[in-house]
Amino acid sequence: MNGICRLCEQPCILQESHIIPKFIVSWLKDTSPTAKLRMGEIPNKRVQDGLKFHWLCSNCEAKFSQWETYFAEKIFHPLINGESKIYYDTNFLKFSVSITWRVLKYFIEQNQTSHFSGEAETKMNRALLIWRDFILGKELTPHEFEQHFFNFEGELSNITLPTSNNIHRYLQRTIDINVITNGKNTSLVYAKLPNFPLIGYIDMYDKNQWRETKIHVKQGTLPSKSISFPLELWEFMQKRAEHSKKLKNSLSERQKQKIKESYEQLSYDEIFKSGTIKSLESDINLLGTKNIFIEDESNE
Amino acid sequence: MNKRLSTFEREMKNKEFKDSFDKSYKNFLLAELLIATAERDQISIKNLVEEIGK
Repeated sequence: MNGICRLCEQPCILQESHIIPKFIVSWLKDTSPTAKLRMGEIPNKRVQDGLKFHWLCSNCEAKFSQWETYFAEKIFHPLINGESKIYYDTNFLKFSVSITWRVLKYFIEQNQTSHFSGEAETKMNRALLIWRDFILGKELTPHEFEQHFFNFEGELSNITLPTSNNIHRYLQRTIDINVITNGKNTSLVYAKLPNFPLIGYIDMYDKNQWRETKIHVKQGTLPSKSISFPLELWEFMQKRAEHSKKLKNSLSERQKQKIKESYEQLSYDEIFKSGTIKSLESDINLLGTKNIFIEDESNE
Repeated sequence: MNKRLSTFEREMKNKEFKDSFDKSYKNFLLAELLIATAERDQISIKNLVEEIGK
């Protein structure tokens, strides 16, 4: 397909580009007993390999691919495998910006940013430009449009804040992308990959709570687990976890039956070693069996 | 079998839990979702971000 590359804006043969890297979708499917991913808003619909569009030329697609490989090999899989400290270089910020740029571009093109006020929209468009120029090497930093990374791999414990009984399944088994604004002084791009939320600031009124999670331009280290995070982000994720639960509950009986039949084809070990059941078990361990099963039963 | 699984297995020996699980487990077999639409959440998101912006 011929067209104009969304990134470098040159005429080209457009490649099919993923909004969320394909390896992440593949990892989710590979660690699920059903090997299927479903669209949140239409859970009866299966997703093959995520959202993808003819957006980029081969050169720009190659840039994204290079950073995705870096993130997969140096950060995603090592953290999933429990490595205690990860050192990163310039490729990590490039990867993160490439994700938040794609998400923001997607939301704009899907006309899902119409709730932005005039001032917020101006900042959003500036963030998009700066991120594009940073990706293309025309800017050395993403300026005020910082990137932040959180690590929620593993099991949460000692949580004293109100917590959704779907929290591990949301954090670990759901991809959730969004562009959020209050129309005044705070806007951000939210790209929650499995276990690892990425945040791109568009406008942030209070940065104090976010200092520890900033992705630096040249290099840095990632802790094995996020031990502090903004309260507001935690509360936001609880709401998204509850939203995700409602979406799952809206699955038709026919689809539930199909999933059940998929499980019945598998061995006990395959089921109980899957990421799906491990995250369910983490919810049980955190909040107790009654909070998981009995409350959810009432939602039937 | 790792240690985490034993929690679930232990609970399955509890009749109340097992009955509840047997009745509703179909609802727990799906975890993997891709959510990429903000529209329905607009009000709650706006409320939340009001808080972030304080």
